[in-house]
Amino acid sequence: MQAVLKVDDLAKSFTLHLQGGVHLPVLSSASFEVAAGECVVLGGPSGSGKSSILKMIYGTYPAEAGSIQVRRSDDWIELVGAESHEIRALRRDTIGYVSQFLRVIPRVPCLEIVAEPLLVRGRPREVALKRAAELLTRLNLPRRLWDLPPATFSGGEQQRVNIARGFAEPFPLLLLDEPTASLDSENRDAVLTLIEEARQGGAGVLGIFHDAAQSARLASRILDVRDYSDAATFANRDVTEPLQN
Amino acid sequence: MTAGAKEAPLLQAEGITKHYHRQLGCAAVDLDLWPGEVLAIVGESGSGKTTLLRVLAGQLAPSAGRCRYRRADGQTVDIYQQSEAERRHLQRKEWGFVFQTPADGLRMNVSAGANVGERLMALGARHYGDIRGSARSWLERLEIDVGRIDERPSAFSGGMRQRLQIARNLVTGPRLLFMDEPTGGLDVSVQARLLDTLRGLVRDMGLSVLLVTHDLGVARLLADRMMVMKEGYVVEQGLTDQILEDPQHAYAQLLVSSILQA
Repeated sequence: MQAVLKVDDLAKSFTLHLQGGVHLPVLSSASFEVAAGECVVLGGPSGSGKSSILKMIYGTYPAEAGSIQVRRSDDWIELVGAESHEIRALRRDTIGYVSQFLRVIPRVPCLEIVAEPLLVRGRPREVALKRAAELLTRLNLPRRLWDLPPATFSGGEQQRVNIARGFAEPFPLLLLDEPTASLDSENRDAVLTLIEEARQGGAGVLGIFHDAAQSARLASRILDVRDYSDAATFANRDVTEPLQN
Repeated sequence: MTAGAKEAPLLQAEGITKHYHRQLGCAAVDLDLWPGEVLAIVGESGSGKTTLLRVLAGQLAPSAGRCRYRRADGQTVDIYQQSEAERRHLQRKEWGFVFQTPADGLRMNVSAGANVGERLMALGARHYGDIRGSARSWLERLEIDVGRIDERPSAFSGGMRQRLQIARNLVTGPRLLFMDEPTGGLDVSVQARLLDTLRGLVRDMGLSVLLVTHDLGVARLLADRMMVMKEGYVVEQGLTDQILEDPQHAYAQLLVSSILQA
């Protein structure tokens, strides 16, 4: 299958100016590809830089060096050093991202939050709301919650809103950061099925999953993120732990 | 190929510097604003953000640098090379400017309806019924009780005055809105509702917005992109989530670390 994502020699570190300029290396040479229809799982212990890789691909963390290229129809678009409006355009139609936490927009009802990625792409309102309702139903979110803002929902309910939003639009590249972390087994299964359907629809998936059984069910390949850092950098591994949050 | 190749920036500024006598307002600012983009200029008071906004909005000629704007007819014009009349026409037709203090952007001694209608009349509208109809519908969109159309803004609360100022700006269907601390003087609950209204309007009208705020919470809610200013210079710019989650510059890190966690 054709690649949808090419990552080359990607490097990242953090410099904390408020802590006297402490320098925390995270990754030094990540290189891999993700093909359409494939699910590549990022493995490795907490703090090894898995989420950082996803955030660099989504443009939330600036990469320090290397290259991230994303396919958009027949073109490859370089994300490292790209302008903000280019990244925004890719987020609109090419890259989907589901994190562990819903970034709640205050006072906006759940159904609207899920429909928003479709509305932003100019889909008709009825179509967007219908798709949102369909996803919330599949994820077993009680209908009485649909018109409420999710600020007061439980962790698991918020996470399902977040997943529904992430899957509303069929993105060619999906970045998943522990999408099932606080779900019970029935809902976890519904999410895994959504991921499998997205793959069958041709999406390339790059994900982090906290349990081995899920990784085994979904993964076409598992990459160990520890391979992307030189051993010396990790001598004092535990200092970077809080960066994962 | 670039992702947005078919489009071009709406507003482009290069090397904007403004001195007041010996005092520096802002220095060497480059900026592109894209169609439909909301850009927040953040920084503490005295950082030069309002100076920059006023220069970009055609209100304050820069000491150096230039600003170009792509008009609705596709022509790109240099804002400060135009005649005063041309610039005023742009300000009335294609732009809006929302001041922090509503009294600066409203006429306090004429009715709410006349405040909204005035911009239409300035562009040549003469039919009283049409003007009043537009004023009505804009009061409604801004959730102002239409029954108060004949009252003067002096009888309105702070939040309602600010809504009226926004209605007055949007009635001519502008493409670009400048806002200087639009929710600055309001109670938090009033501020929250106004932010909701603004978010909806920006998306539905496809507005491009330049927003000055010292409140990163406001920027987080409204802006696609942020520019962080300190002592007249832009020290960092990037997508809103990038600045909030992984700020690079020491001052941006300080600013982000100072946000109160909800």
